[in-house]
This record gives sequence, structure tokens and C-alpha cells, in this order.
Amino acid sequence: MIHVDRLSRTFVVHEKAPGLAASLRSLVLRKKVEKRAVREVSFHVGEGEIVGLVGANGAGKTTLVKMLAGIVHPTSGDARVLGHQPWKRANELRRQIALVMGQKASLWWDLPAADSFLLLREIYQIPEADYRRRLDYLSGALEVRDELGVQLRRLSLGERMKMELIATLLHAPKVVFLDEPTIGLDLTAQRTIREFLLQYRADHKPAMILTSHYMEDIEELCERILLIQEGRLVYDGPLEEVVTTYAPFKTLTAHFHVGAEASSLPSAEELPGEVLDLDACHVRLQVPRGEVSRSAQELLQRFPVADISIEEAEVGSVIEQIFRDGQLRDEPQREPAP
Amino acid sequence: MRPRLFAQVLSIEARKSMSYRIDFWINSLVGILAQFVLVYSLWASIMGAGGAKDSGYSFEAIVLYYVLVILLGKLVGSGYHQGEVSSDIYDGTLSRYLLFPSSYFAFKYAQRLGSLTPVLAQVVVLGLAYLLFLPHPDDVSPTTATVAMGCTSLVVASLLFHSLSWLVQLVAFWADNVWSLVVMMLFVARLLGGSMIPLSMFPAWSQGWLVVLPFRYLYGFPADTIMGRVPTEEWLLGLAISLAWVAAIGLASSAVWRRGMLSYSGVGI
Repeated sequence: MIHVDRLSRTFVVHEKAPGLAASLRSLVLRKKVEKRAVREVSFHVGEGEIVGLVGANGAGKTTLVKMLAGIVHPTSGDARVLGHQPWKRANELRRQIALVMGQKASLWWDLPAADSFLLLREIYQIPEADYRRRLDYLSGALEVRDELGVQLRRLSLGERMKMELIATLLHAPKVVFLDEPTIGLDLTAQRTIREFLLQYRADHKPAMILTSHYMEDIEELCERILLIQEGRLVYDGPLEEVVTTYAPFKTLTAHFHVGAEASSLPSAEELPGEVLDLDACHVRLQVPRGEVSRSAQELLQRFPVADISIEEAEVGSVIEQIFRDGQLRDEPQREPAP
Repeated sequence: MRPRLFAQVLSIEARKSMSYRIDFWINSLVGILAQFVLVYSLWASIMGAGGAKDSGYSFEAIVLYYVLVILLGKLVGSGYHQGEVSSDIYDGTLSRYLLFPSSYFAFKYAQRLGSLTPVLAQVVVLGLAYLLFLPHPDDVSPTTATVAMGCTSLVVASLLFHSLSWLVQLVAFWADNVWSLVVMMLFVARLLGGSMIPLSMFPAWSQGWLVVLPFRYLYGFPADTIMGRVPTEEWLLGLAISLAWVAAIGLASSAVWRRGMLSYSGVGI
């Protein structure tokens, strides 16, 4: 449903040094800087798939979503959404896609959501019976039926976001772009929205692309993720495989025999790995992925080990690390999934 | 845009403008009454001192002219704040409209008309005040025909203003903030459109230019038409010139829009 082929976007931005002198200078001379927001990104998304778009701030996720939603033109490359080039904004395509912008309200602030929904019914030419059925289903599932008549600005952030979701899905789009749909919401509201999205996916089979900085969103909703680093797609595959690709270490934990002599226990220098934790009962080591078996063998042979376990890093912590560092290992871009 | 959708957008904007009762009445009445009192006092002084004798207007006629110019000007160029399109581009709100399967231009035009609801209250109040309390001229004679012709001019003027304002605001694709440009455009439009001073008071050498420029058709032309000061042939010519400007500005806007969209980055989301 979504085919992206070497899509790139470069922005020209003006840079100005801080201070009054620089402000005066910028009235006459401005320094233009090219910023490559998205670089030759390729991937496919099929029907019923929810794909997580993951990367640090400024990695190019939102620009990519904006291009696929037809808001922004690419500098080069091609994309097809339901067979259309999105930036040509054919009405036939626009009737079948939707974008939720968690950081930007799309409903009318001074009106009750119900008024905005009536306008959307007209914009998308939704038949009256379908409109009533969908509004009833969506407002019921998101538990905001009683708030439909309340002026939008008087609703809580969570309720407003739910109204945004209803507005997005009223016309039953086949492709949905969700840009930070749970940003700023409390845990209950986040969970409600996640459960709702899973149910909506099961019922309607749309293709969805989700960007979120909340790992729970990614872990619960997406089986597949796209990792973006500095505009490049550096990983496209199952969520679980992120760990094997981007967590170079495993955690090795050994418990010593009860009552083992202190002289037989290892010192930190003797251990085959970086020590995370060490006492008379156990040791936790961070070991390079390729050396796990040798390190485990060494521990078993040299020290009074009663029990040993090997753990993978958690998916969430690996991706959160990527967010924090803004860096990934230098991996060649994979071929798009067939 | 389908007429039903146009009507729905117009209706939602009208509802928005009536959401806040105090703001509605202040917006509707206070500004326009202050504006009219100022203009009335000024012209009473000028005419009282024997000025503007060659303008072609008696004092009563000039009062009617300003009542019409103020009210028609509100209908033509009022509504949502003048920098709405450039603001949409500047803060990324345009993105929302780009997602809709409808024309952004028509959407904005419907919003503008919908937000004119307070102006309708102004028309009623100032219109009644004029009929009840102000002197009526003997030298001009509005008829049903001139009112109908004036209303037609008003519709074209509204479209012309929207097109002109639209073209100027599209500069925001490159300049981000075009508020000064919009204010300048409004000033020029009001000055050369006869909203500040009747165009007959401009120098003789400028009259030819005023006829071919678009601004006259925004304010002075519809007002003079209603007052019966524009012969039918001149009215038809004026209408043709206005429509030619709408077409020319439309073509230019279309090219600027296409070019601007290439550089639009949808900031703010």
C-alpha cells in the first residue's frame, strides 16, 4: 500500500549567530545552509501492517511522514501511496489517507468536536448512515461519547487527542500516519489509545506508520520498525531483531556456590567481561555478543559457579539508548522487504 | 469545491464567530460606530469650511458614500484576520488543509464569508442609523436597479479582494512573515480604492490609472454604483476590468502556489 523508493528531502535553512551584531548583519547577509532531512530512504508497507518509525529527534521521521501524506514535496526519489504520488494530492488519494499530528490540533478549537465532525463528513462525503455508525463506534471505543458536545478547548489533553483520532478515522482511511499520537498523555490515556489502535487495525486492516518516543507504543503496536539515523534508513525489520543488530553486548549472570571459599571467588580483574555487579554470591558481566560462550566456559572452569544465565538486552532499552545517543552503529542500509 | 461543503465551511465559521458573545458585539458595533463618527466629523468640518467643493458630492451625498464604503468595505475585505493564509503557511496549519480532498483557496474563501457574521450586524445597525438619524442627499438617487448592480459589483469585489490578498500572502512561502506586506497592500487598496477619499478628488492625471488598476473596484466602484453615479456602460466596463484582474491574479497565484509548495516544509508538526 506504501512503496517508497530512494526518497530524499533537503531543506535550505538560514543560520544566524546569536547576538545583536549578528541580527543586524542578517538583515543584509544571510547564511544559507542545506539540511538533508531524509536521504534515499526505501521501504514498503503492506495492508494491515503497523510499522514503527523510530529515531532520535531531528532524524527525519516527521519529514518522511509529511512527504508520504502529501504535505511536503521530496527533493528526489519516488513514493506511491495506494498507487498515487502523494505530493500530487489527488482527491482520490486524500479521501483514503489520514494523518494524526500529536503536536498540532486539527480540529476547531472554539467549537464542540461534533461540529468539526459534521464538517469532516461533508469534506470526505461520508454517507449519513456510515457517519453515524463510525462516530458511534469510535466515540464508544475511545470513551468520549459524552464529550462530543463540549467545546474542544474545554476538554483535557487526552480527550482532545481522542477527538483527533476520531476525526482522523471517521472516513475509514486505508492508510494512516500517526505522528506522536500519545504525546503528553497520562498512562491510562496512552493505554486506551494503544488498545483502540490495535482493535482498529484488527477490524479495518489499514496500513499504519507510527512515530512515537514512547517505547510502549512501539513495542505494543509494531511488529516491524524502521530505524532512521540522520535521515538514513539504517534498519528495516522485526522489532526483536533490533537487539541482535544494535545491542553488541549480552548480560551474563553467574551465581556462586553457597559457602564457597572467599579465595576461590574472582576479583574484578580476573573476570572475562565488563563487571556490572560483583559480590560473594553472584557476578553480572557485560560481554561482547561473539564472546559469550567463551566467557561462560571460562567462568564455569575457573570459579565455583552453581548457576549461570545469559540475557539479551531489552528491546525498549536498546531503542531508548538509540534515542539518547542519537547514534547507531554504522550499518549498511538493507534492501527493502519484499 | 462542492456548494454543500462550501455552505458547511461557511456555517462552521459563522458559528465560530458567535462563540463569544461579548467579543461579537464589541467587534460588531463599537469599531464601526467609532469609524463612522470620525469620518462624519471630519467631513462636516471640511464641508463646513467650504472645502471639497469640486468633489461632485454634497455633504449629504458624502455621508451616504462613507456609510456605503465602510459597510461594503467590511463585506469585501473584512472577516478573518487579514494574514490568515500567510499565518497558515508560517506556522504549518496549512498542512491540515492540504490533507483535505478540497481546494484550500475555496476553503479559505468560505471561511472568510462565514466569519462575516458580525459584519451583517454592522450593516443592519449602521444602515438603520443612517436611515433614521442622518440627512439624505437630493443629488443622488439609489434605485432598485442601481442597488442590484452594486450588489453584483460587491460579489466581484469580494472575489477580487480575496484573490489579491491571497497572492500577496503566498509570499510567506519564502519570506515567512509577511505582515508588513499585507498591511501595505491594505493601505494601498484603501487609498487607491476610494475608501479613504472619494476617487473623484484625486488629480485629473491619475483618473485614467485608477480605472485600470484593480483597487477602485473594491470600494468606491460598488458604492458609487449603488448611489446611481455610475452609468450602465461604465459599470459593465468596470465589471469586465474587475473580472480580468481576478483571472490575471488567479493565474499568477496558481504559478506562485505551485512554486511555493515545492519549498513548503510544514513546520510546527
